[in-house]
Amino acid sequence: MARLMKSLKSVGKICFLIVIGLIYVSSDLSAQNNTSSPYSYYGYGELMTQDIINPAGLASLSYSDGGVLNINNPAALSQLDSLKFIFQFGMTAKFSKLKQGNDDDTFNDLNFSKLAFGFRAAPGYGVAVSLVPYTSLGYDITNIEYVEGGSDYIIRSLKGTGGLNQLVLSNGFRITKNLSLGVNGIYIFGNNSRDESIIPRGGGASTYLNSSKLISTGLNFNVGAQYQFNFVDNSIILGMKYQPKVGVRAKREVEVVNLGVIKYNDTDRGRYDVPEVYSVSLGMKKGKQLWVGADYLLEKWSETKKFEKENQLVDRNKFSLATIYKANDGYATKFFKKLTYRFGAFYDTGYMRVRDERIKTKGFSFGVGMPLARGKGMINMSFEFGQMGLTANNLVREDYGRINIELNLFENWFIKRKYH
Amino acid sequence: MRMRTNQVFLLLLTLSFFVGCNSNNFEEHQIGDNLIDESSEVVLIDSLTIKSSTVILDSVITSRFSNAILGRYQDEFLGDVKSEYYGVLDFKGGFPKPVKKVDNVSVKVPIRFDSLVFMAYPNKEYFGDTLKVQRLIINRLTENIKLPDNENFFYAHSKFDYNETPLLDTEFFLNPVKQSDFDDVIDSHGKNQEIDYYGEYYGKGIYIKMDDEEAISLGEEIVELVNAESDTVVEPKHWHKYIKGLVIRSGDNNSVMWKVPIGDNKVRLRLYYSETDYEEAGRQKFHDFPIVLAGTDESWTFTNYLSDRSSTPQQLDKLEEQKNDLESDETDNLTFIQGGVGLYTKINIPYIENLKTLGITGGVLRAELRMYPKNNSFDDELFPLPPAIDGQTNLLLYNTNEDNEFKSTLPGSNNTPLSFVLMKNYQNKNETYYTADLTSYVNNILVNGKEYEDAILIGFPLESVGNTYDRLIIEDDPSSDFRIRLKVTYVIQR
Repeated sequence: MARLMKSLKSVGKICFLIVIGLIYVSSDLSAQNNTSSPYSYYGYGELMTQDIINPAGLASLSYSDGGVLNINNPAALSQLDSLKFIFQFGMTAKFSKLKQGNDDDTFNDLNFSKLAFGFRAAPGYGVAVSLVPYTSLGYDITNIEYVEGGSDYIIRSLKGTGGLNQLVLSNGFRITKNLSLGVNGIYIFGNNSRDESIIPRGGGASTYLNSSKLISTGLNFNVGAQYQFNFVDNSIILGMKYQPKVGVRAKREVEVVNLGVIKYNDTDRGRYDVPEVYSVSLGMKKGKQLWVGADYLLEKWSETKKFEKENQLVDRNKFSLATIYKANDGYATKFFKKLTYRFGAFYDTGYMRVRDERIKTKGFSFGVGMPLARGKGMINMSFEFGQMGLTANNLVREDYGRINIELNLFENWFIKRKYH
Repeated sequence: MRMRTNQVFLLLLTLSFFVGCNSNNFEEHQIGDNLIDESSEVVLIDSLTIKSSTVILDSVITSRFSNAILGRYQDEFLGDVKSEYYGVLDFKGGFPKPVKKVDNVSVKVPIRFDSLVFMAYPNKEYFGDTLKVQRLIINRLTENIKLPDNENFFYAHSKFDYNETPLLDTEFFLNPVKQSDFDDVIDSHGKNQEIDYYGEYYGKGIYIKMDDEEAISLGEEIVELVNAESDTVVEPKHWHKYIKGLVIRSGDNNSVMWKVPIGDNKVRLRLYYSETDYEEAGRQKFHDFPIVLAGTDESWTFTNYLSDRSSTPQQLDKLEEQKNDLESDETDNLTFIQGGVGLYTKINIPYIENLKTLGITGGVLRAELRMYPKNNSFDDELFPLPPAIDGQTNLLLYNTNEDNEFKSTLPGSNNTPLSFVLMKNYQNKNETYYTADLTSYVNNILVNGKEYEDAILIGFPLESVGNTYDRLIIEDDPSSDFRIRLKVTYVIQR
């Protein structure tokens, strides 16, 4: 009976977290952007890489831990601790400074970054469900233009909102003592909105608004594997991931409204591709406390199409490094000894080429994981500093700092408490 | 432990609030504008063909305006315009035989006619040259002013017969500012105890003694009717039937048109008389007969305008019927607007819909109609531009059809009709122009298609055009910068 109550309570918590997540995802509040970068205009928006702990990219494909939901490589879920039910809720605040020529501008963005829960369903079989952003649009640019031949000016604003989200069902299986395999079933949904509005400067209610929306609801998947070579105290882990190119069903709506009258609208149905992805990782575990790993990711965006047209994107290469150190050897009493420390760095070529330049991102991060009392969970915080783009060729460079806070709650199932 | 979980939630909430508040939501950001492709282009199009012409109204309503327009002006472009003002003459409550109490007995005292005087207090508005001497002629009507059956107004062409021999035919100088000075006490020769002029008139208004025999005999006739205690000078119906009315005319060499307020008895005949007996015998007294807007039996005051365009440089005598407009290329690329006579400028913009062929779609941001008054056709003294208050004129735009009939006014903001705004250029007078916002007009044509009735008549409000002498000559030379132009700021969607 008590166990039933407990699981009901867990279900309640899941529902609560899902509701919060959906509110954030569907929120139109402009403060809740993932980005303000003008580069989010390109492709499907700015890519929101989801890795463990830090949303922007630590190496992780070859990492596994009994208390961590490593959605990035579903094979890692097979290592989940029994008796644990993990809730995860993450938020990200980004503080960025855009620089172009002699101008700069600052933005603060905030959004949820992850909502997930997972558990070991059977020995050697872990399951997780997660909701994460996949791409994000957040540019908002206003320009005053002179109308050739007249004395009038117009105000043009270009605004991108929304983005794609992924609802992921992850399954990880231990096949042998050394080999685990996993599969992520992904439901992509979202609404990429691009609005262009023009109003005459100095009054006049006449406006011109062109809004185009890419509304998608589609499925894709990826598969992962981890193989562990064990030595005396140490082990070497090989991680791999593959995702086939899949066309996601989408609807594209374009509407032009002028002076309150719809001048044009067009709805187009078709597909856009998510790219073929290859990713490999090499990790090394020293004892139970230290892990060091390196990932390489290749996303073949150049082969993708959107509504049967070339996407004009380029292949993305990403290299990342990480190390995770659990200071707690099991007997720690001091606070700093109980923490988990993480360091990472990455170099990402991105998937866009603008004015003949690749828009690359590089950065590093560090973070700590603080256990909650009595093993009830973990708070992970990370600080990332990065740079995207460049100022040459009249392009924009974004220097940013990102704070990520992730709350992990462990619900111990199947344990009867002896004392209250 | 539960406390700690809650604390974490609190931390997240605080963070979201903090960052949310700091976000620069309402600022305008420009960085990166060169990186984002604009899907549309904004252009200014002012080359749309505009056909222009001049239309003359068949019927200009001129009855029952609270200002009388009197006089004549001669215009370089529009020829001669002369007003004949038909006025209903009221007897101001009646003119009964005076009654005196003599030894507690009421006695009616006979009176003696002295003289008849024409009085008027103009308002300060006028059009033309006041330096020349002006002729003023007043005739008595020989038929009653009466609205014809099935008509609701008198028009600029309405007429009634009058006696050839005038009551007054005189010359005077118009000084509209000075002569507008009205003082109740002075006007009535000082009813007030302090001032007591019983002799001469000291006021500044127009005051002309009517010495013609016709006037003297009218005055004597009225005095006889008073002495005979006739109903004619007591009963309004009888009075109007008897007096019929006046027509105030001007000479062929007059050079100015001017306005006189009618509502408050500022134009009148004054009859001076004296009692023949008892203590006030011989003392000068008077009775006023003001011109009023309306008498009994649908007799209304109105203006007849005579326009002689036979010697105008653009031969505007070709303007005869409302349905036949005179195209501007027949009138030296000029069009005309004139109050009183009722000239309107008509424009037609046939190819607005061609904008739709640009891009996959598009929209109007602003459409402005501009027209320039002809250079040297106006000045600040004699022939000013139509009045504008803070630039706002009463030049309206009407939808019209092939027969040049008036449909609705083009709507402006706040449910008022759209009107032109004067953009005065003091440095460079010939760059002064009129502008009207045709944004919704153009948008309407783009959405619903063009119909013939989208042609536009431009001029003074139809209800009051009969009560204005203002005029405007508009330049529309297709090869010049000073042509009637529609400037459309248009978004082309690529």
